[in-house]
Amino acid sequence: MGYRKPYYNEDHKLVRYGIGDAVADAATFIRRFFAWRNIRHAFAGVIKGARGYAVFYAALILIQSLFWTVWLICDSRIAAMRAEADSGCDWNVTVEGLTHDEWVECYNGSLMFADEQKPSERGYVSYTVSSYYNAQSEVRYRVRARLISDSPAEASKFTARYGFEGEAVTVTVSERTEVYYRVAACRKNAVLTTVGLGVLSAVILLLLFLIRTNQFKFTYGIYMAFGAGFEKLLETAAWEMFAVSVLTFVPAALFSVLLFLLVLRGGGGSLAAGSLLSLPRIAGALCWTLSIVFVSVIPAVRILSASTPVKLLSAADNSNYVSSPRVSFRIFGKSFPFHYECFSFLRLRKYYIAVLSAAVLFTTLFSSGLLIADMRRTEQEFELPQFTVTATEGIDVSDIEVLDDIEGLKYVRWSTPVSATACASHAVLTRSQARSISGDTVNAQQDGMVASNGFRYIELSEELLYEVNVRGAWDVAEGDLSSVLSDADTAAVSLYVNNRQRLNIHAGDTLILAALRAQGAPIDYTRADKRWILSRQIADCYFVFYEVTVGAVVDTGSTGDEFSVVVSPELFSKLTGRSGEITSLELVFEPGATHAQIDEARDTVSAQLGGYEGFALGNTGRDFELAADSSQSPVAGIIYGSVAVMLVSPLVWMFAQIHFGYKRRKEMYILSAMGAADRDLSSLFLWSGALLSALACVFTLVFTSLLRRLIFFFINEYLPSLGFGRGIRYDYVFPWWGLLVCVAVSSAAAVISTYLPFRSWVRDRDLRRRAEAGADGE
Amino acid sequence: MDPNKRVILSCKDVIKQYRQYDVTVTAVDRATFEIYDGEFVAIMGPSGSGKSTLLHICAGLDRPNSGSITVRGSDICSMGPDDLAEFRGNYLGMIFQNHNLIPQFTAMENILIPTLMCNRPDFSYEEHFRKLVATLNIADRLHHLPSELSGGQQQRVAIARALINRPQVVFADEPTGNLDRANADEVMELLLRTKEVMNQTLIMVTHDMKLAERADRILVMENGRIEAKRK
Repeated sequence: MGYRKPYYNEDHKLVRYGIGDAVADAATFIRRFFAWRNIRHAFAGVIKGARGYAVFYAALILIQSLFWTVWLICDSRIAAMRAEADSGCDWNVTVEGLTHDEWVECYNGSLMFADEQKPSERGYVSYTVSSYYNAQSEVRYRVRARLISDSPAEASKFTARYGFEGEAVTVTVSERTEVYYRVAACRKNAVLTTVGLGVLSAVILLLLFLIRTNQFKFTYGIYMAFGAGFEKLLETAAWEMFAVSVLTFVPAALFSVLLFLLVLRGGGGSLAAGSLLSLPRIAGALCWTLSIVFVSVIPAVRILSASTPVKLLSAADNSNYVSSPRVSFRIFGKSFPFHYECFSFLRLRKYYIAVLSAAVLFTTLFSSGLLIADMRRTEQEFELPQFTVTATEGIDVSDIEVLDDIEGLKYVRWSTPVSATACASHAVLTRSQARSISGDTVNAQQDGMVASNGFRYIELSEELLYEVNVRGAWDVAEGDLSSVLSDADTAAVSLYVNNRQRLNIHAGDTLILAALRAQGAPIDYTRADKRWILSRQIADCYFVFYEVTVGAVVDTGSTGDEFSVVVSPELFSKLTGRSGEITSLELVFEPGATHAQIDEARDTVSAQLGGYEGFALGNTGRDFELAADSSQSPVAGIIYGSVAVMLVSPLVWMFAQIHFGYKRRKEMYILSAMGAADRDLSSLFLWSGALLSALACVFTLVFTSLLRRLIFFFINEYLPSLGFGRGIRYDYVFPWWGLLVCVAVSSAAAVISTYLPFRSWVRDRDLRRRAEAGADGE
Repeated sequence: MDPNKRVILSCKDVIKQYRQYDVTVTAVDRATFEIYDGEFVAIMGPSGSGKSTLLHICAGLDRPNSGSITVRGSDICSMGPDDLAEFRGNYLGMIFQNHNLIPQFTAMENILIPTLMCNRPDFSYEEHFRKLVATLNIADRLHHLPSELSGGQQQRVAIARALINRPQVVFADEPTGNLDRANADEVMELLLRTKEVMNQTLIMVTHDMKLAERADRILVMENGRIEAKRK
């Protein structure tokens, strides 16, 4: 581009930079950038100098494979969900609760005439009508229609157009329509993953590019001395990377198909072929790759072009890394080669820090990937409900027992929670028991004890105990839950609040529960501060205290921001002043439950519980998740992805080290001329590798632990505390084999990357000697 | 000097300092001078007096800490790195002391680097290139790598590289420093001949008094300062 500041032209006239100049400059830049010569040179350069670009070939194969793998997995999940919806139901919308008159009115009013029209005009393909008995044993009609599109908007249009209205009429969309949302969510996840991987990929390429520009400072210095600026350097680098991207496009796609087939556990070949041959997908992959290339190349070239040629030329031997020659001089009087290399290590510390950071970053990401894979496994194994039922009126246990006959149902989970704040109750705990919730407690009336009302009471009935003991609705971590019913002075406690253990209580400990007896001064219960309410209650109210023994420690699933105290019906009544009312249910199905069974279960639940006031039935779509998960192995996918990310580490490392080793050839020749034996020189390289390896192992262990802890805290505790998550609690695992792999890869990369330059130096030296001997002979 | 001649390079109060540990080293200390179009100026002085640093700053290869340098009426110190790079490519040529040829490139590729960097499609390189290599007597060594050339041949390749873009000002940092007397004289002759043919300004750092005597003017540097300007 032209000179942005005013300048004097050939005729000594002052030239100012205007908009016209800017437009002309931009046009020139575009013309120059897209010059055929640049493209030809770039392709010729990266093909002829393939060895020098090997690391970029490998990196771009990996980067593009990540894109393909993510989208192939996304496509397969979508295909699996659609297949599940297709096999599960042949309708989009269900209208229920129509009386005979309402149905006749709808049919005679419009539906009958619509039947004569084409599907595209009437909005539906077909419909079925069936009658059933509702909870009050009245005949009701149900209409199920297959619409011309699975779009949710089509369902709304259908019900509005044909006048399906009535006092008790409910309209629900089927899985065919639900799948629309799920497909959108799946695509959104894939886009987010792609963006995340894009950022990671850009970092990888940027690192490689910075290493490359550092190694070729001399060449770049010459280029810049003779007129190369940012634009020229950028067009060279960008086209080279473009050429590598194009050349690696097909290998990357094939590699990702291989990875995909591994994730899919066989099958999926035709799906993969379909995705690979899709033009929008190919265009997307190219755009994504080129965006990454540009995003990574631009800063690297900008940094390079901001430097002065003299700086680059004088730093050709990496002497810019030699931050302190005085340190190097300290080698006098020390043993060779160990001390020499130790000081070299110190001398070249900036370079080693850069290389170590790259190695540690990717091995840490690998280890974190393993943790995320393990969390995903926990999610898959967690028994999430298919249906949730809520009612404002208490549901009778006998009605729940009827649901046991539903085919495919594993168990029904319910509880009768009453917040301690709502019944002006509190628990008295020792300071040790309440250590993790000390911020939520106040001083109790008892000396040395604290009081908390941040919990809820759950009434344990025989039926609930049956669900827990026989069907595994809750996890019992310690003790025997049945003791709560057999012994009046026993209670069970859940320890976790938002997936974080907040209480230090074990089976056999004593707990004091306070029930309100009489209220003193009025208290403002509308205040949100529970501690303030509790302190006022303790000061102004009279309580009856029940000392109970903790009979069991249980996990009642998601408990929000309160822990649970499970007590017998008698104690529940004394403490809360009311009997337990079941207002919510969760129906968990066997993993192999069919759509027909789930569909039938919905009818049964509606028929059985539909009469309760405020009845609402929610479908979580768990069957879709299971279907999508069973079609592939996301856990394996995450592990393969993590391994792929980790492979970048030795790639970066070896690339940097091998180049750096070549740079040290001159140093080796000088040392050799000064009398150093081959053994000593090989030791130099090996010491360098060993030191680097040791540091890499230490840093990997430290950073791996930190990042894993951070991810675990974020997913397991922080997100639930904000109300996200599904109440799943993960185990923190630190797989020794993953760490061993990290350490092994670090060590191998360090040793190989230091041994190769040494071998190269020996070969180079031998060649020179032979050439000299030949010249002497002549 | 003819007062009608225009100033091609003006250097005013240029200071260049380096920080080495706790010590500040002043490589160039308030250097002020002017060089006219078509002039041949030699810069002399003992080792470490700041000659090369001054030459690099004047050639736009390095930045001063303060002061201003105007080349062809443009203040190169206030230019951004990209503008300065383009300016260097179009108007300035540099011959380095130790040749600085890219070892992986052949002599021809090394010579043609500036043409690639400047992207001047309207410029006819081919004829100029042929003349240049014929003048410098390296036509038969064009496809050799630098390691296969003698010191004198390498220096001639470096000169050809500096002249391929027909720069208006040529900076030469001890171009004969690594050569024997015969080769040094030959290279000097070549430089002066091309200077006359192309009407260039030549600024050369040298220790060789015999070569310096052929210059129009000599700037003598000591401890970073220009101590004398003499013929």
